[in-house]
Amino acid sequence: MAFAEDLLKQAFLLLNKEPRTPTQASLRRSVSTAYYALFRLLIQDASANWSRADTRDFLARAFDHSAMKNASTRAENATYDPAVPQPVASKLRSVARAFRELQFQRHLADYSNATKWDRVMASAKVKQADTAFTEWKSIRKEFVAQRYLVSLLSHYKDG
Amino acid sequence: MQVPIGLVNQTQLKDAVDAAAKTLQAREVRHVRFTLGSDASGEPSIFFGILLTPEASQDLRLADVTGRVAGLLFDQLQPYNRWGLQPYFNFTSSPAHFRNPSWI
Repeated sequence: MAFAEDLLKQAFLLLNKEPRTPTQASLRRSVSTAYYALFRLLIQDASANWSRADTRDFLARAFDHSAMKNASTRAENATYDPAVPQPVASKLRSVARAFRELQFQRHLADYSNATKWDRVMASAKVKQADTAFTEWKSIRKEFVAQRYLVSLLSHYKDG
Repeated sequence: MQVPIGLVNQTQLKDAVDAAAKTLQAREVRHVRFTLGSDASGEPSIFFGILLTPEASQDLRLADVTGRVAGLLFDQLQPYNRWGLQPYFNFTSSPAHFRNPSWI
């Protein structure tokens, strides 16, 4: 848990590194770091379900960005059972959207010279990660949240 | 569900985006525009560019405003389920940045 939190703090530090005129390097790295913070948070929570603590780090290496995006797209657009409280479904959708969007923004931040960042644009993304942390922590024990964690690792099938 | 961008009725999509944008609060959002393209995975995507007011861009309000605006547009448009498009939301408070075609 601490590593993901530290990454998120680092994203904010980079975002505010140059208060007056932020450099493209700082803004881009802040967005990239925010994505990795959320990536690590979800992987750590998923891996924590593995009973053998001494092999969790190996399990964590099995997660794949593309599969996680696909799982997040499903979670974001799913119709949830009416028994799932609406706030829980809403927060799960928000977390999944944050993950999917931040993954793409990370790609732009790291690879696209055509994309110019300003502080508001970058700050919106870092804060999206921050909100996702808060929302995730409030729903992480819910069944649908745990099912989402499983789906991040596997080619999930309903039923 | 993925729909090739060529199969999206862009007139209907623009009308839907315009209608959704009208429901946003004018004291927070000045303009909404969008482009269609592919994301890093090659999926058909809609990229929203959203120009915020200076008030809405204040640091203490930014997370609330951007989360709410993206949520409203997502809920009203259902970009993936209705149009087969992955939505991405970009925010700025700079009119010059907003007008830059390569911004989003």
